[in-house]
Amino acid sequence: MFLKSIRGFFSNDLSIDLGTANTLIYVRGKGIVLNEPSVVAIRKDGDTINAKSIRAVGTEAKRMLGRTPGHITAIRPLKDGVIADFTVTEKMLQYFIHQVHGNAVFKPSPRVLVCVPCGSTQVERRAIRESAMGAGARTVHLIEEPMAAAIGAGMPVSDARGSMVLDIGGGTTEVAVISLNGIVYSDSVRIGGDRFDEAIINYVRRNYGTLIGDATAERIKHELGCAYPGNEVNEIEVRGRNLAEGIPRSFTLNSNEILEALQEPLTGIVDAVKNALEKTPPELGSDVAERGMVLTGGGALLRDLDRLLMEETGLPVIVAEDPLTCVARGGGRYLEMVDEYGSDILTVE
Amino acid sequence: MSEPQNQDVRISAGEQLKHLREQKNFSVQDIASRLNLEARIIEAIEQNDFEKLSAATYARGYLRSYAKILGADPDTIISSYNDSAPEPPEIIPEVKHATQTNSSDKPVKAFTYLITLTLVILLVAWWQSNFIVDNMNNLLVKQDTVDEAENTYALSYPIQIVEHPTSPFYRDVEAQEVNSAETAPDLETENDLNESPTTVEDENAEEDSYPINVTSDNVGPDALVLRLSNDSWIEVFDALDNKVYVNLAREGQILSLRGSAPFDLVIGAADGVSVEFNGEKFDTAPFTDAGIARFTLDQ
Repeated sequence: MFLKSIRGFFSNDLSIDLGTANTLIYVRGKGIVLNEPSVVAIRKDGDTINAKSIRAVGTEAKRMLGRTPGHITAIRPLKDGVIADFTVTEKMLQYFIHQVHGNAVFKPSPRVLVCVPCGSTQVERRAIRESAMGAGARTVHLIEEPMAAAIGAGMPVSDARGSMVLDIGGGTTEVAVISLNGIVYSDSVRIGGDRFDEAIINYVRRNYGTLIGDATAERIKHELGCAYPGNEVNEIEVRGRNLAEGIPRSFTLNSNEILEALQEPLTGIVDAVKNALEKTPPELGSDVAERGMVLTGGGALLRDLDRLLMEETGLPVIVAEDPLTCVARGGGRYLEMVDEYGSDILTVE
Repeated sequence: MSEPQNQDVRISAGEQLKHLREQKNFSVQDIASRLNLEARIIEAIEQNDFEKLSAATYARGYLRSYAKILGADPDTIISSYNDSAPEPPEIIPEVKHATQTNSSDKPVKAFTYLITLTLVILLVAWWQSNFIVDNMNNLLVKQDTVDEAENTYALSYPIQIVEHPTSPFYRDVEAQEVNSAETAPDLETENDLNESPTTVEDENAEEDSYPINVTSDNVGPDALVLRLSNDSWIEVFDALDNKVYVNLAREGQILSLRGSAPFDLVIGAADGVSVEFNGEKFDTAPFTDAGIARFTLDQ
């Protein structure tokens, strides 16, 4: 314990956005220092079951997704915003924390703040806390993702006015109404960027009889994905394995098809927002109606998503600056606040 | 924050948007309904009155959406807004807690480094002093051997005093000198054999059935004479903590000792011993406790 606190002198405080798709680390005073996919490639050594070693983490591991030989498995240890594989998550965090420090002499022992989905259960939170501890953290603070997102987006969370934030991550979408440093209403639906990819894969299989991988689906989403019919129609050439012939074939997709493919997950998100508005106390609802809701997270980058929500809800919708890093930055600011005022400034846990 | 490059960019964000809106023949109301915002907010934006909007985040968002509707590049609008943007809102905690000192605070960190540094310096200093003392001791040992060599020379010089047993009284200095001149060669050889005064005594005792009265050893500027009227344990150390005399002295003995003052003395049976220091009598009574006298003799 004492040794840990000594090592803590040589470590920085970290705010970690442990996302399903990407892990971001914000270091106090340095900003976002790490933004890597939450993917770990594991190599099996020998015949025994436990002989496993980490082959790659992050971007390198993501390149291996779906392209690995038998003895390597590339896995995403988080699913739907929570830990699916405890030990691998721990290893991944350890790797990232070490990478951020780059100090070979002392094993880093930082204070760590991890963002958790607001819908996560006690068991899931505990798993996140323990894995951060296992990765060498001195102390672990947990903060709910929408709160961190709102702080990171620069919303006036301390005001006695309702602020609504919609954080669309890789695995979950969180919607929350915040007032006076606390969450008034929050909901989490397990729809996110991954579900968009899945929807695209399913659509392509259904309509083109062709199988495409996760990475291809993600590329399609980034280039063509949109949430609202626009004036221009873009096209993209993709290759996949034709199910009938069993041979890779190339074909063309356009943005309208992708819009159709994304309908199902988008409806889920819109429903969650409508549900939240329905359950928001009227006074706060009127604040939200006046100022609008703020979109954060990678999903906010989906083209015209704000337009869709504006049309569906009749409220102003704005996209935060740099939505991908909002949560990590917000967590970082929260850590600074903890230093200044003590750990119970916000309602966490 | 990009530097404005031409005339168009230099005009404020609100004016740019208003200009574009008028070009496209939209009314404020049209824009307001498309953005689901109140018309007064659109007007406030066009007049660059961002104070009316609650936070910079919202202002930026409105500008971005507004620009998108008009088909303008949101980034140029935002960058011209950023020049005048207010700071992001402070998060005011519900309760102000007393600031807690943390291990990562700068002063605490600095203090820790200071303590560590001090400890290291002390450690180095300690090690070095130990090292020096060791070296000094080695040197001193060498010095001692040199001194011994000198002693042999010094002893041939008639400072050493040898008294003869029969007379219990003090004789005058001249007589002593004569005596010492006679016995000096003896003493010299004895000293070469062994520097301990006890051996001197023992050898003398063999020659003579009486307890030998006179013993002297070290060289030094100060003279100490102890006369014993009964047996007593005597310990004498000189200024450098060298043993001058540590032994049991017999009744009737007269110890003539030399060395450099101050002397540390312990006399086992003080009432039977008279002390004379540099020719002056010294009273041991005030330093005597339960018959044992412990004192330091100095000029």
